[in-house]
Amino acid sequence: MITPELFAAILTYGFAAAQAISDALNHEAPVDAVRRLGIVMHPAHQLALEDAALVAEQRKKAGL
Amino acid sequence: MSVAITREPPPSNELLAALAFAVLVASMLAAHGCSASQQRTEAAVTIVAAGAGVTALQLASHESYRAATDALMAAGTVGAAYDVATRPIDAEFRARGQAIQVLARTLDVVAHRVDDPNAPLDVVGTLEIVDLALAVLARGAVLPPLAIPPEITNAAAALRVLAGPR
Repeated sequence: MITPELFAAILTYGFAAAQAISDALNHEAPVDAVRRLGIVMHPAHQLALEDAALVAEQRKKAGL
Repeated sequence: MSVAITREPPPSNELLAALAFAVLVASMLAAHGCSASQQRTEAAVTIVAAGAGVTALQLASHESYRAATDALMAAGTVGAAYDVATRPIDAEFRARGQAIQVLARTLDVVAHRVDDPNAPLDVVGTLEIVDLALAVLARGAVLPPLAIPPEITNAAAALRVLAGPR
């Protein structure tokens, strides 16, 4: 689940830090956590999360 | 011998609507007697409408990334080889993503400021940012160039009108 630390990291440091924290915590992609919790983000942050989700999806398909 | 007669499909309603909107905004902004505050208001409407263009750009960026990486996998490039082969693709995709984010943030900020006559507004600086972002999106080293949606070019045109002759 998303934690206050993860949410703060997304807002403060952007996607990269949030992704690292998320991976370390529970392997849930931040975009999924944000969607699941219905968190309204700045559109630019939302764009970054969606881009990263696509990269992750393709890497998974490629066996990574 | 038969001759096949093909007919170009009619323009879509969306395209016609976008063209009509662009003509309407351009004519309103260019009209003589249009005050500076009216120009700012009309520009604000055009720039807010560019939000749809940002979404279209992101979808197009995703589509080109998915097509490029799917093609690699279809050619048997998977696992560690995929990791290596996608580095330049990932780099270009990230650069485009950042350009789209910059575009979204810039248009968001300028849409609010342009509608408020008391708010500070650096139209020339804003245009430079928008043009830089669009240049990143329109060129492609390993991914095909992205077409810039009419909503975005309309917003850039509205900013150029506000900026005046350069």
